[in-house]
Amino acid sequence: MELRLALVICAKDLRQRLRDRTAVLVAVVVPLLLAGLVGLSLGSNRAGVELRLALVDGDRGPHAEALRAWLSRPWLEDVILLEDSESVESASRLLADDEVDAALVLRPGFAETSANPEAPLTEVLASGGNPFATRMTVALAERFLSDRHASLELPQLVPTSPTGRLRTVDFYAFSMTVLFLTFTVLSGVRSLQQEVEAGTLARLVASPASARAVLAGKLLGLLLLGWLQMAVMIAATSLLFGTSWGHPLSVVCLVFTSVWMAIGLTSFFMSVAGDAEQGQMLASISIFLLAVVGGQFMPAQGLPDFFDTLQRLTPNGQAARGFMDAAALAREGGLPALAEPLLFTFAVGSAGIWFAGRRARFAVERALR
Amino acid sequence: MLVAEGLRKRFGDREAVCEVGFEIASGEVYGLLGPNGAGKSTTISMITGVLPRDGGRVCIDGIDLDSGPPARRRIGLVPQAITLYQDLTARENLLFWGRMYELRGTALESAVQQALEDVALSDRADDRVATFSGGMQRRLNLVAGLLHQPSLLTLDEPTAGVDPQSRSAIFDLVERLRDDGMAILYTTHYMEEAERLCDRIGIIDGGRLIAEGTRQELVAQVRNESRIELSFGGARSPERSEAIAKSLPDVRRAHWDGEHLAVHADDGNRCLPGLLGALLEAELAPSRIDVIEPDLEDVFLELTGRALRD
Repeated sequence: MELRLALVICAKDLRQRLRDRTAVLVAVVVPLLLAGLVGLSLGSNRAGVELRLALVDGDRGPHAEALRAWLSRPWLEDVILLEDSESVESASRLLADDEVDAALVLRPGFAETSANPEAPLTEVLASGGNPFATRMTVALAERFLSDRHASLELPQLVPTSPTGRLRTVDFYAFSMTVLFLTFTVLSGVRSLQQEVEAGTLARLVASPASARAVLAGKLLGLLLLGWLQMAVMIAATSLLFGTSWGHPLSVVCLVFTSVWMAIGLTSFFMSVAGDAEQGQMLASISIFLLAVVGGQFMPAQGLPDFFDTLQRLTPNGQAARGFMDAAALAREGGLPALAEPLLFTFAVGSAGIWFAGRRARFAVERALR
Repeated sequence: MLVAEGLRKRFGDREAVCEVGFEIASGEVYGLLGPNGAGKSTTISMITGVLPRDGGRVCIDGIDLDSGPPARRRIGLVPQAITLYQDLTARENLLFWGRMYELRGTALESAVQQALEDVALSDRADDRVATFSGGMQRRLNLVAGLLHQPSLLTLDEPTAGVDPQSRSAIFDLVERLRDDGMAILYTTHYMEEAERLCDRIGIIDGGRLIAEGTRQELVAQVRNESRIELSFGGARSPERSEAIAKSLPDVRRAHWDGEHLAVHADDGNRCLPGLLGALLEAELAPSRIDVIEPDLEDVFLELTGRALRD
C-alpha cells in the first residue's frame, strides 16, 4: 500500500513536470541548441571518439606485450589507432607534429611489479590542451592495471602539446547535459517547495500515506525526471552530433549518480532559502557559479592545472568529467576508473538530500504557523 | 466519534495550543470560534496528524490517531488554503486525492463524478484549476476532502474569501453532510457562520478553550443583557442622550460614540418605553431604534475583553 501511494505521488509529479513546456525547453531544447551551436562552431568536425596513441615500449616484457594486445582488441580498432614509437623523444615529436593525440610510455621494469615501486613505471605524454586524449589514455592504462591486479604506479601526465583532439561538440554535449540536468531537477525541487508553501504537502501528510511514502514518491519523481532528461539528451546528442557516451554500464551508473547529485545539490539550496522564489534564485546563481568553476562553459585546454583541481572539487565538474572518462573508455566498462566521479557525485547528492530531508519537517511546521 | 484530549503545541517560546479538548458526535457540527491566531488551525492540524502533538490524545471512532492509516482514512481534511494543484484539471485533482485515500477503479470514478456534481463543476471538470474563480476553487477544495466519505470532516475557515453564492453552496453542503451523519469540525472567526451551522461551539483564544456549549448555553454564561442602539438624525446636541439614559433605573450603562447611543439593560423591551419617554421630553426624537439581543460576539467580548475581529 505504501508503495502504491508513493507511485501515485510520483505519477502526479511527473504529469505536472511534463506538462510544463518551459521545463521541457530547459531540459532538452536549450542544452541541445547550446551544445550544437557552440560545439560545432568552435570545434573540429571529426566524427566519433578516436584516440591516436603512440606506445613507447621501454620494457619489452610480457606485461607490456599483454598491454599492447589489450589495446589492439578488435572492437577497439576504430577507437584506438595504435602506433609504436622507438623512444620518448620520437613520441614527443609525433605529438608536436599532431600525428598522435597521446603517448603511453612503459619504463623498464613495467613487467616486474616488485621492482623499484617508487619509480614511475608508466607515463602518459599528451598535448596539454587535450584533456580528452589524456584522460582516455590514463583511463585505459588504469583499466588495464586494474584488470591485471597489478600494484603499479598510476601513470603520470606530461603535457607536451597545445593541440587537442577532444571534439568541442562532445565536450559541450557532456557539460551542457549535466548543467541543464541540474536546472531540470531544480524545477522539480522548486515545485516541492511550492507544495510546502501552498499547503498541499500538509494535505499529503494528513493522508493515509506515511511521511516515508510521501518522501519516496517525491524522490522517485525527481529521479525519473532526471533520468528521462539524461536519456533524451544522450539519444539526441548521439543522433545529432555522433557523440559516443561510452559503455552502457558506465553511463547508467553515471546517470544515476549525476541525477542523485543534482537532486541533493538543488534540495540543499532550496532548503536553506526562505521560500521557493528565493530558493530558485539562490540555486540558479550557485549552479551557474559551479558551472563556471567546474569548467562546463569552456574546455580546460591550455589552462593551468589549478582549473583541473577546481573541476574535481565541484560535483557538476566531477559528473561531466565522469562522462568524458566513460567516453574515453569506449566499450570497456571501466567502473573502477570512474570511481572518483561516481563516489563524489553520490556523496554530494546523499549529503544534500539528507540535509533537505531534515529541514522538510521544519518547513512544513513553519508554513502552518 | 472524535475525542480530543489535552492537546498541546508549542512553537519555540510561544504556546500555540494549551490543553485543548472536546468531543464531537456523529451528525454534529462543532464550531471552533476564535480570532485569527487563536490556535484554531493548529488544533485542526494536530487532530488531522499534519502537525505532531507536544501532548494530548486524538481518537476517531475509538481508533488512536497514532495508529496511522486506519485513523487517517476516517478523516477528511479541508485546509484553510486552497490546496489544489493549479496546473492539473479539476478531475485530475480529485482523482489524485481519491487515490491518496485508497479509492480506485469504478468507486473512484463515481466518487469523483458525484463530487463534481455536488459542487456544480461537472461542466468544468477538464479545465485546469488555475482558470477557476476563487469560489469555484474553494468548492473543489472542499469536495477533495470528502471523496472517501470520512467519518470526521475538518473544515478550516472554508468560506474565507468566497462570494455569497459559493458561501451559500458550502453551507448547504455542510448541512447535508451533517444530516447524513458525518461529524464536522468547523473553524471560523465569523460569528454568523458559527451561529447558523454549529450545534455546539468552543470558543478558543490564546490557544486555550475558554468556553464550550450550545449557542444558548454560551449566551447564558455571560451577563444576560440587551443592547439598544439609537440614532438621532438632525437632533440638537444628541450627546445629551447619554446622561439622560444613565439616569433611568433600568439602564445598566450607556455610551455615546459620536453617532449612536448604546444602552445596555437587563431587558431591552421593558426598558425601551421609559427611555423613549425621557428622550422625547428632552426634545431628542430618535430617527432609528435597534434592540439587539446578546450574541456570540458579546460572549467573546465578555470572556476576553476583545472583539472577535480585533
